[in-house]
Amino acid sequence: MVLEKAKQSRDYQQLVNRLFQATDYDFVAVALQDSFAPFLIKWRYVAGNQNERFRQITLRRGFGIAGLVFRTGKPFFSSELNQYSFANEMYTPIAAAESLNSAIAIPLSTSLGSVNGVLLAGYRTEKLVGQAQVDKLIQLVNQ
Amino acid sequence: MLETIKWLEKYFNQSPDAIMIFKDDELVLSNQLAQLLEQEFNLSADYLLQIAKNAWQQNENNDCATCLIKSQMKHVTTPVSFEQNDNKSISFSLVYKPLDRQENVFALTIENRDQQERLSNVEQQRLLNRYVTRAHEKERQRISQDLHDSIAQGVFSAIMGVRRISHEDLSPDELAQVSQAVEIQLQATLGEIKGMALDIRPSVLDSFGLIPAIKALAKRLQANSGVTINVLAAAKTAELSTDVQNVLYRICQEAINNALKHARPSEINVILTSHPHFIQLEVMDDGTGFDMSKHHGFNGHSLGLMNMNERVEALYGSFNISSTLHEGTTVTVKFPYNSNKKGTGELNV
Repeated sequence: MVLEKAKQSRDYQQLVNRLFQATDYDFVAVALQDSFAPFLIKWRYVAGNQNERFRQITLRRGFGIAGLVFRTGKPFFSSELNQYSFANEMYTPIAAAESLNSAIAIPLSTSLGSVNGVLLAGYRTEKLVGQAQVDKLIQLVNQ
Repeated sequence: MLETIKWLEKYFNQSPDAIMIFKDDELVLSNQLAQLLEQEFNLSADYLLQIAKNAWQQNENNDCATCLIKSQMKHVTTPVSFEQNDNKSISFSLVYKPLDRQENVFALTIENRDQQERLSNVEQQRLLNRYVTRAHEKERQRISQDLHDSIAQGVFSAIMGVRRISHEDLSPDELAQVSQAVEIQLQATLGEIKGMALDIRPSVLDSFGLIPAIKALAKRLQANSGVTINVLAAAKTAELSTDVQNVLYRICQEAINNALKHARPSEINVILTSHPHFIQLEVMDDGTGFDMSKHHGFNGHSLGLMNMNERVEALYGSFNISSTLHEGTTVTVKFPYNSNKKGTGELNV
């Protein structure tokens, strides 16, 4: 059990590192949901981070692009993350903490098919993101 | 014609402002109120004339020759205050109005500023009332929306899960998965409900006091925003009245929310300290800040601040906000510890 867990965490860190190196994204991160109550969702593995503020964030289902992925199980993207104020439901805390302008988020599923994590990749520059980037990232993750 | 002059004279005498008309610096005409004022305050018309002339000269001589505002000003106004016998002073505006420049005829009007201030206070109060009502309505709208979007949604998903468990023929693996999904869904909903309850009225504040309440608030907002919120509390809050604790908590909440909404900060510091005679709350952010001069007075942006100010002053506290563009904003609130002098027992600050 413990060994398995260690292996899993190494895998996620490796995945994040691999994506960070293979692409031009400024920041790549994985958020996972705890398997025990109260099932908090937190950013666990990151690459390209500017600070440690990601550790303080608790994701809310349905809020921000990563939270929307958790609720819907579908990928989300936005190129104007810095436009949303704190009161907006698209406000993405990780974008504020890492000064991201655009990002895409795709669901990570368990072997049984339910969403238990989200992978986020983003730019700090004005670069636009769209469905093409989503497809590309999914392809890279499944490699 | 004679009749008309009589009416004019009557109106002139009954004017709520004291009016004096001068020709070649000699008083030629003054209404009843002006005469009364002269007697009451032992004033001479010459003295008032000197004040007005001084102000007029300053206005003429200063460097703003091309001043747009000045060119639109038809007369010069100076504030004056007279001392009454009982050492109370009354504030007036002294207005200098040229009537006929060639003949060198002009009028000095003494307008009661108390009245003007009272009028603008009434106006302020009206605006503030409207703002508070609107804010209440907005708050309800937000709560209703939250209930609908997150609570109702979560409960609905859970119902769907339960329905699957009872109606579908699931394998043990699937059953475990669906029931866990339902549990997660309900846990998330529970979290949202707790969060909403905290927003509406923190029970921590009632049961554990101000500092744990502020800490819980900061922790929650930090988790939701990705902005670091530090709380440094070195104050004795047990002796504070519930009113003061409530206001301090609300100001803290509003100031942090304002900073998160408008300033894009990376860090917010909340500092609560007690001093021999007062308790002080400071909320500082390192965000974009704003130009204080542009937000002075009544526009949509400062009504929230005005409301904070009112709430603090109602409990004999002081409220201050200072901000510099690109350097962040600091909100400071002070409450006296011993305000027994005020004598209202229920306050017990």
